[in-house]
Amino acid sequence: MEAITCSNCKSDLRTEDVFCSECGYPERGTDIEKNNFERRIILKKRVVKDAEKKVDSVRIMLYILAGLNIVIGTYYVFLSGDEFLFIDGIAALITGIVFIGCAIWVNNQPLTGVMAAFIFWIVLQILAAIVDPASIFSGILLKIVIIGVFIKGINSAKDAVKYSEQLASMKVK
Amino acid sequence: MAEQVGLEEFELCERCQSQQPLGFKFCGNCGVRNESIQKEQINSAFQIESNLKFLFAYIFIVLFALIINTYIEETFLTVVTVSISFAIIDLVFAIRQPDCFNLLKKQLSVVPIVLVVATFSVTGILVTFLGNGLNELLFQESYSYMYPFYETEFPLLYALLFVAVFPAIFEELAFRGFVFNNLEKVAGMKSAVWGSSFLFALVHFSIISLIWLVPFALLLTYIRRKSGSIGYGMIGHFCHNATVVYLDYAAVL
Repeated sequence: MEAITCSNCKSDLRTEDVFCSECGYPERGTDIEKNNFERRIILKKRVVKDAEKKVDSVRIMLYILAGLNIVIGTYYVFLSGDEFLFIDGIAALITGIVFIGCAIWVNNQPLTGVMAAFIFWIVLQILAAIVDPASIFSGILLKIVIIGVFIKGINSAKDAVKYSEQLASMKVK
Repeated sequence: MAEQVGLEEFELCERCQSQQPLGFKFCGNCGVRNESIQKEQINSAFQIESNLKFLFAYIFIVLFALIINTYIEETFLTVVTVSISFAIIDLVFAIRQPDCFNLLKKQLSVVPIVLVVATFSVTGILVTFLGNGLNELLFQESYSYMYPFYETEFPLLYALLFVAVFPAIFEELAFRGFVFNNLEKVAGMKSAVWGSSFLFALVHFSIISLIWLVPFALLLTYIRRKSGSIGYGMIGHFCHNATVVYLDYAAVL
C-alpha cells in the first residue's frame, strides 16, 4: 500500500490504515463502506437542519410576540390618552423590546436564547396571574402551543449542538 | 490500555484489538470511534444537561417563592422570614455547586473598593430619584422599603440588614456565583454575562424596573468577570441598596 491522504479531511493515512484516524473515512475501504460514511453524514446534516428549522420557528414566534406587544404598547402609550393604559403600554413596549432581544440572542446562541425567552415568557404569565388569576385560563390553547414551541426549541437547540459537534469530529463543514 | 512499543506509544482499539497511536480519534483498522474520546464527549453532553437542570430548578424554586411572597402581607416578621428563606435557597444551591465559594477567596484591594463604593452609591441615588419619579408619574404613589421596619426598635438598622446586607450577599452568590458559572459552562462567556444579568433582573418581578435592573446587573457581572471575585459585587450591591434605603429613611424624617 502506498502512502495517501484522506479524501475527506486531507490528513495523511498511515500505510497500514484502512480508515482515516482523524475523521473515520474508509479511504482504503469498499464502496459500501464509503457510501455508509456519506450516508451517516447526510443523516446528521438533516438532523441539524431540522433542529435549526425548529429553533427558527421559536425565533419567528418571538418576533410575532414582540410585534404584538409593541403595537399594543404604542397604541396605549401614544394614542389612547388613558392614564392607566399608559402604564400597561410602557410595560408592553419593554416586553416587546425584550422579546426582540431574545430573538437576536436565539440567532447567536440558540440554547440560552430560547431558555431566556421561555423563562421571560413564564414570568410574564406569572405577573399577569398575580394581577388577575383568571388570566391563566384566557387563551389557554394558544399558551399550550407556545409552551410546546419553546420546549421543542430547547430540545432542538440541544440536538443542533450535539450533532454539529459530531459532524465537526468527522471533519465535515 | 496504553503500552510501550519501541519509541512510540500505542493503545489498543476496543473493537478489533489492533494497535493504534495513543489518543487516536478513529481506529485505522476498523473505523470505530475511540471509546475514551467518545466517553469524554458523552460526559460533556451529560454535564450540560445537569447544568441546565440545576439552573431551571433554581429559577423555578425562586419564582415559586416569589409568587408566595406576593400574597404575604408585608410585616417585619414576614420580611425576616422571606429574607431567610431566600438565603437558605441560595445557600443550598451554592453548596451543591461549591466552586462559587472560590470567588470569595481572592484578596480585595483598596482602590477598587473605593471606586465600587463611589459608583454604587451614585447608582443608588440615581435609581431612587428615577424610581420615585417613575412611580409617582405612573402609579401616583411611592413605595417605601422602610415601611415594614417602623414597628421595630431600630428601623434603619433592621432595614439595612434585610434590604441591603442579605440581598447583597446571597444574590451575588447566586447570580454572579453559581448561575454565572453554570451558564458559562453551558453556553460560553457572552451568554453567561447577558443571561445571568437578565435572570437577576427578572427575579425582581417588575417589567418596568428591567430598564435599570439589567444595566445594573451587567455592571456587577462585568466587575465579577474582570476581578474574578464576587467580593466587590457584594460591596457594590450593598452600597446601592443601602443608599436607596437610607434616602428612603431620610425622606420620611
